[in-house]
Amino acid sequence: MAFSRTQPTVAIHRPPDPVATMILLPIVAGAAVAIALGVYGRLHEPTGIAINIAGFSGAQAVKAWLTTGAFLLAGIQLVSALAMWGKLPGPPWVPTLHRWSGRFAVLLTVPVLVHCLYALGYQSATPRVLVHSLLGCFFFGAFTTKMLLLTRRGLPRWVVPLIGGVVFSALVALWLTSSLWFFTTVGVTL
Amino acid sequence: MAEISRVDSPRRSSRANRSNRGPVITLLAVVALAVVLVGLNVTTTAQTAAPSPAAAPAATEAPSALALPPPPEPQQAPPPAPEQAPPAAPEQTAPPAAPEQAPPAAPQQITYAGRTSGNEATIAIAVRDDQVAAYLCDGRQVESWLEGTIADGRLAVQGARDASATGVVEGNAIFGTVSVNGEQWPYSAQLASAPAGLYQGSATANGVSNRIGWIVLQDGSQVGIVNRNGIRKPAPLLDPKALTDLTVDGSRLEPQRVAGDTKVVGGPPA
Repeated sequence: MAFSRTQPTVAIHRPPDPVATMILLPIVAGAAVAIALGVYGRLHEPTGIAINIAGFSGAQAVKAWLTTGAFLLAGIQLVSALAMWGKLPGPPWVPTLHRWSGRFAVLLTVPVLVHCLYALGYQSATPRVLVHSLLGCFFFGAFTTKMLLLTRRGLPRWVVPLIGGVVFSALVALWLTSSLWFFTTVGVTL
Repeated sequence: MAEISRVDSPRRSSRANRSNRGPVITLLAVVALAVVLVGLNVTTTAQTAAPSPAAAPAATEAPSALALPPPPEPQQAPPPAPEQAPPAAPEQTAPPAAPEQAPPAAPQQITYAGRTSGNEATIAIAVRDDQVAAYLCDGRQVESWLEGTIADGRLAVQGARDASATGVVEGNAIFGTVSVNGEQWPYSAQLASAPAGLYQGSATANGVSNRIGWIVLQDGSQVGIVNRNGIRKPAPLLDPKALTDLTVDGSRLEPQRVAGDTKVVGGPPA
């Protein structure tokens, strides 16, 4: 049900696995992912080329639309999360909706990630590009952290909503610095 | 379920256990998809890069293959201007301002057109045999004409004010880096068929020289800048099929398609 994920009875009294460690390890893992992506993007010589998807005018258009898809699914994520935590009324299948919309959202971003890092690399030429590069690495690190945190039992109530909000915010900012920029400068084209 | 033994709670149902493993599966799915995509990329780009050993060009080096000394090109504070100007094309005929050189027998004339990776500007590269004329243009303020050569699939062109570009031919495209006004951008340009390509026009009237460069992309969109004694603004719309004459600030000019051996650096050839 909606509250199956919340564990108000925090296991602070258990010394072998204190809450701090439970939270810290996923954060360290996520940070490692973010740094690894950034280092790869910086060191790897961008090829300038990557596979393209038929029907689109170019890789940028593909990425803009994939990110837009993830962005829309992220809206579902936000609403369904609010329902899961009782802030909104929702049907019993809301947790399932949340999980699967999240999975599809992140899977949509993977081709974008691969193209960005493989073909373009980490760049800092303009503020938009710099922010986008940083956020892109941060997003996948934060996502890793959230997935790992979800496997932990007995987290404080605020942990999952916080990391979920971080992931959501990062994705929105990524969309703003890429897709919205693309649609407003190049045009809303396929 | 190994994960339950961590900090378990008595109310954990088997359904919750499943969802507990879900995030890990999601992570693995993401990693797997990324690995597959990278693998696809590596294999496809390795195939297209077959003729040239190195996949990516060095960013800065641009061996000078220029016979022309780069003459001074006026360049300062262009006014910010809108993306595209309305067409201005009264139908008239004028003596050609920039006659193209007589083409040699059976020349290999092709043109690549594309964009920088961040879409900062468009670029067109005209190639005739080993001669290259290229143009970078953002349609507003940034433009640069470049000349050079292409040999063994490697492109090197230079223009005024240390502008340069390098590139590597991979299949039907050129990938490389262009440097202009102290900025460096990766770019990719694909083989473009007419009317897509590179065009220029120039005219001088009353001591004012107007020079226009246009890049027409494969999808029909075009980007151009008119350089009026160093002041740049968006170019009037070009009809790349008819190449009808245009009047810019009172002087008439005849647009022409640029070939690889067209002299483009050093101002209007007229």
